[in-house]
Amino acid sequence: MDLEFLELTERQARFIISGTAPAFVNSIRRSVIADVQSMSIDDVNFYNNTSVLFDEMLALRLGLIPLTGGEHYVSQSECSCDGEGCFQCQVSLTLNVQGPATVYSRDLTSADTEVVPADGNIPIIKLFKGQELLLEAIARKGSSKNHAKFQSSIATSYKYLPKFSINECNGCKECVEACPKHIIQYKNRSVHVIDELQCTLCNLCVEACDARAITVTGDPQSFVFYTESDGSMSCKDLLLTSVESLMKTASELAEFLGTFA
Amino acid sequence: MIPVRCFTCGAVISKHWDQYKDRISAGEDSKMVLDDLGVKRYCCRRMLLTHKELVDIFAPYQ
Repeated sequence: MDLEFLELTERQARFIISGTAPAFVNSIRRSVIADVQSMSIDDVNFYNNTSVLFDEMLALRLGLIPLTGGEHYVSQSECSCDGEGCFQCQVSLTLNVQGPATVYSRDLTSADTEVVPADGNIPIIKLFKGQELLLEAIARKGSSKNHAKFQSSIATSYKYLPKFSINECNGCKECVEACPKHIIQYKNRSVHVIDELQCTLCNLCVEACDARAITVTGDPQSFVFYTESDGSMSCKDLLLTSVESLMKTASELAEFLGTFA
Repeated sequence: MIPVRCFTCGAVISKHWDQYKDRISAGEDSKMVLDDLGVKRYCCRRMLLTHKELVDIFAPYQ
């Protein structure tokens, strides 16, 4: 199995994984989506809310804000405090703003300096003159199996690695027009593909070609994997955590199957 | 208020709202602004493109 990273930043990762099967790549995808836990605001105590939005709507908006630095926390159900709530499983964030002002995620004051909103410029609510917002939010660690707000990864997907072959092009340029990604160019009496990776395997170029000169296939053993992070952790951590969890699950399965042998 | 995340993919799009709004009102083209902000997918683009801010309209009737 080969791995080639095309892009790896804090918020985005794209790599080619080759010499494997769709089932394996899909299990990585599922693990990235569902096995990585993160911190999110889970409970909100309102002390004063005279804004135009109801408490419930504000709580919903607060829950969707990605929070960083939850590595050292455990989920409340697994915590030694038996679900009562302690410093190992929850963080308190307070918010106190008087209008006129727009409340942003950066206005949240966290009890733990590591657990803070990943982006400070998320607008929460616009307050007008005389309006006030005073609340305490409790952030907990959770899994996206319970709520989508705990999901750190966005648009996690993979596709077969596109492979083009062009023979005896007659220069009609129909495929250049047909390609929705504009990756086919006409040069030196033949068409050329500029960026194969951008191809979505839509086959519109194949259909447009009267000379049947183009064939596009997806390599069934190579995949282009893409994922994005919402900022709660880096893409590197996201991928590592998910693969670790996958390995743990696999060894548990092997152990379980071993009991029958 | 602009939804915090994209309804479809879950990307945090609200962080772009202030900049998007300012640049659109300054007369820039939406396509250019969205490309510039790195909002690539059409699910996220429609969130910003089609948003109508209602808070200012509601406020006097509070």
